[in-house]
Amino acid sequence: MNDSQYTILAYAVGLGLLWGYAGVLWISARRRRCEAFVEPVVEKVDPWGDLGGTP
Amino acid sequence: MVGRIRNLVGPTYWILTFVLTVVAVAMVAFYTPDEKTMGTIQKIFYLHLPTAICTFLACLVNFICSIAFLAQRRSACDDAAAASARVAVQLCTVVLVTGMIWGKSAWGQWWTWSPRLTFSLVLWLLYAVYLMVRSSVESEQRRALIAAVYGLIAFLDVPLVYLSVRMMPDIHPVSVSLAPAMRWTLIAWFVPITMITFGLIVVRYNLNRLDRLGRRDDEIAPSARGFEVLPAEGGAV
Repeated sequence: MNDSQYTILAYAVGLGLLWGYAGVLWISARRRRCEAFVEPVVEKVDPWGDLGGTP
Repeated sequence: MVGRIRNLVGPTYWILTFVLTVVAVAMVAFYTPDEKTMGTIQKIFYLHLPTAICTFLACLVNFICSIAFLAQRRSACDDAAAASARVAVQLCTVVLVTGMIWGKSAWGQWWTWSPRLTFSLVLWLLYAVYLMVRSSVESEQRRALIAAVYGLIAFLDVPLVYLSVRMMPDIHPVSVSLAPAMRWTLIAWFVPITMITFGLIVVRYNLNRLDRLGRRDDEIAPSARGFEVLPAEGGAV
């Protein structure tokens, strides 16, 4: 492999790990019907307001 | 305040982060010149350095949240510490992998036991073990307490990683002089990597909170503010 190929490999692996992890979290959030990426939902699941939501 | 931070983690935030990442990649590919001595392989630096700095930031968040937990015993601090540790491991993995690829091209070997590389590997191991310790303790209270104390100790490696290259003979470069175009490219990379870091911590934190709430019974006793503490020992996990 030459330098250019090593560089491309490093960026592919590095960005893949970062954005891949973001994707995994997104899927987790979706699967739990948590809209953490979209809007705060703590108020819906935190009736006592101990997370800062509306009691 | 918490609501505002939470609102940041929306599609707009991630789309903007992605666009900035694409811009940063384009700058590396088309804008910044090759370094004179190392050539093209030096371009790994633009991803490697911001990710390393953000690893330290994630460790710092873990450290602060661990102190906050020990002071206040609030489950939110424990959840934030856990979130930042997970992100720190992910970032440190990127630092190690990109560094190894760079080392293979520049030094002809994937790994060498130089002080900075060794302390970086130790940092990764410390936070990976942190996550294992968390998953191995069943009691929520005990887990949070052990993790907080462990988080304080693990953070001691961060200054070692930073100072090792300055205080001990090391093959790892200490500092590099950058042309203006290179400096702008580096700045362009700091922005999306920092945004990814804090975005991941906030999203992971939200998921940790939902996990904790999901584990609790619906009959959780209403408590006055300030009494928000971990559930009783032996509670549902």
